[in-house]
Amino acid sequence: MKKVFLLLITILLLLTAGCDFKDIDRRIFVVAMGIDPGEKEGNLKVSLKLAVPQGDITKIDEKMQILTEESYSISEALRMMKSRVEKELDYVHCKSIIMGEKLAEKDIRHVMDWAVRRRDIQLILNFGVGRPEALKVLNIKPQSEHIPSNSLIMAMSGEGTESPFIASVYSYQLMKNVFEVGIDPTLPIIESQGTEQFLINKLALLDKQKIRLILSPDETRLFNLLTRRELRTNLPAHYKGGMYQYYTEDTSASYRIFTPEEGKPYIQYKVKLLGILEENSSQDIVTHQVLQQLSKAGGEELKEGIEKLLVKIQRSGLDPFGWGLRYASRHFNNDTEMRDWKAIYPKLEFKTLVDVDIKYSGMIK
Amino acid sequence: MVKSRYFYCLFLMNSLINIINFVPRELMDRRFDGALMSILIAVPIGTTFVYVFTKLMDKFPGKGIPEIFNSLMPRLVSTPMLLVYAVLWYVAGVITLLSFVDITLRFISPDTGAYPVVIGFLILVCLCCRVDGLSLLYGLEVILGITLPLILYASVKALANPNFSWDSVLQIVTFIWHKPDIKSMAAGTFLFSGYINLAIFNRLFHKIKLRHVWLIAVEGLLVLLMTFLVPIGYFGTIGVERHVYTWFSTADSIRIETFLIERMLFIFYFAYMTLSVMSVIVHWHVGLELFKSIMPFADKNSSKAKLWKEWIILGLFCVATLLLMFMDQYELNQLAEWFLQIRWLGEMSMIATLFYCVIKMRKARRRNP
Repeated sequence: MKKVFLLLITILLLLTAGCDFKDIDRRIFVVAMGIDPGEKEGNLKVSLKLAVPQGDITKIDEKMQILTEESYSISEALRMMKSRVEKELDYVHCKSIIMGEKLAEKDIRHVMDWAVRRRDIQLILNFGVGRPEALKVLNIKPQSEHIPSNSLIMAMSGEGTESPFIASVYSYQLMKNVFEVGIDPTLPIIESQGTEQFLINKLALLDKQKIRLILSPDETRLFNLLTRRELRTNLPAHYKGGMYQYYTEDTSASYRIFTPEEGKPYIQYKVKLLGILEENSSQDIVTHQVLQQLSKAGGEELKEGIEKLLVKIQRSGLDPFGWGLRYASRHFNNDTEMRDWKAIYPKLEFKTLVDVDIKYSGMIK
Repeated sequence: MVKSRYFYCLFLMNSLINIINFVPRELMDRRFDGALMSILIAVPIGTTFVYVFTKLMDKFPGKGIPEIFNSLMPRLVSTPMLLVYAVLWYVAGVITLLSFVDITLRFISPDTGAYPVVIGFLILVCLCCRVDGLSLLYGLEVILGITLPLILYASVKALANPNFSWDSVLQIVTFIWHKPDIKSMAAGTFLFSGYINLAIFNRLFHKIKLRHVWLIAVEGLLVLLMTFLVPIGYFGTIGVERHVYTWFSTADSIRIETFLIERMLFIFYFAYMTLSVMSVIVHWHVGLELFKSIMPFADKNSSKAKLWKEWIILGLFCVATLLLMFMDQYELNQLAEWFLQIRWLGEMSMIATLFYCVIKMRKARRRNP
């Protein structure tokens, strides 16, 4: 009996070679994808950035290839590309999908659906909007880069640079926000500057379908300040004609929606920052009192900036912060709460309590 | 005699495996229609079942359900009942197995055919479920020891993610005041039904000391809430219904920044693969024992006849599994939904029958002490 089993198992093991398994040298890895609108109306131009696997990492030399194909569907374009390379295209290491700005101004849902539906594409993949077009962004090859598309992955994941202007979005988040009632999706904008540099410092706010508003770098930073914890950035403070900059060591922001019986509904933001002085344009010595005055002045400036941003977003009718969802999650009248919210939203006022605490003057006074 | 802690192992296995057995799917479909209330009701019901069933089985130390039924009821009644239970246990295993084959094909090896995968699993399961119950319990304990830390790690990581949307979770919580739904309750009680494997494993237990029943309730509640609410935190209240493999997609959304592999999916897959194979083995072991007890030539006790008997049953198991492979994702889901409800009825009827058996045994004892 045992011998029969052994034989059976051996035969089965031999069979596994018959499965369509391909070795790494027969695969070519797609590391990033770009999708633009095609030349023909309704078509899509799909571009792939391929990384060629190499053996010796010490002698590594960035090798990449870019394929572009236009078709009426994404799948069709990818199948057509299969006959242009000798190896099997493998998508499991695809870490970013970039949609051309023109496409994102029309509709992102098609691409999003495709990316989430495909089984071999990760859900922790970064979505972004490419400016002026996705292909140009894919073509960027920074000098400092050794592995294809690594710079983009590092920048978006926050593993490398910790820029306060980058607000990356994973595909599962994008999908959540597209369908969720009371919150609207956002996407970072990646601009190509020549073939060796990119710039990610703007944020696109979308309604459920397309880009509606683009935030400037400053606004993007404030957006990040309000949505994230521990944002590492510098912020300005002007005091007695001097310009000061402080670096934030710790930040936190929270908000509550108030709907008082009398008076207008308002959202109260509480922002707390812990700072250290980084730059001082005047030659004055920073005393304890100056530090306190700076905190105050910095807080005022920040407050003004935040309130401007909040009003701007409210005017656009979008809800990237998820205020609507927050309102709904705190109310039990599930049938009517969203209707209530629609009436409340345009009337909202904003109150911001900013608490800037610059604790240190740096290494010198 | 086995220590009582193995009973907890059986319980824990079922409560963790619910993710594979379409319990999240059932709950998600009714997230706006009373799933949360059903969870809250399922917990006390499930705990009561656990308590009552173990107390009843305690009256028959060292005996399994077949011995109890056959000795206290006419053969004509006990045989069909045992047959139904045997089929139920088989289906419990087969759903886990097919669901897991499906997940393997989607997430791990899309290039491999479905049949090599299912045959691989079948060989492993069939070889293992013939092993005696005691070894299975030991094996189960070891496997829980390996997988439990991984599952805990994944859970902590899932909740600690700054992108986890607590607002979406709270939004679902505001739907709590809704009348409970029987289907969700059936799904919710599945977490507690690990105890029912005692039907066969009671042969090994002599006196189960059921301490800390509240712990069972708390664990069940926590796991149920995790099962139900964590995917909502990742995919939102509306988007969540679009995900087919809800929990595996959730695991795919968790990123591990500082480890050899970046994707939680693989750790999660490994933990659940071991656990679900173990659960199929345990379920089929019980199914096999039940089938054996009703086979007509059960009296022949030569070892060769026994062996043949087992392999015939296992052969049937495998053939049925391969035949069930024709189902697509919606049909499998439907089968799982039916199973979750029917098994609840089965549990109730088993407890009721046991009550009857206990009363009958007492009467018989009184008559001839």
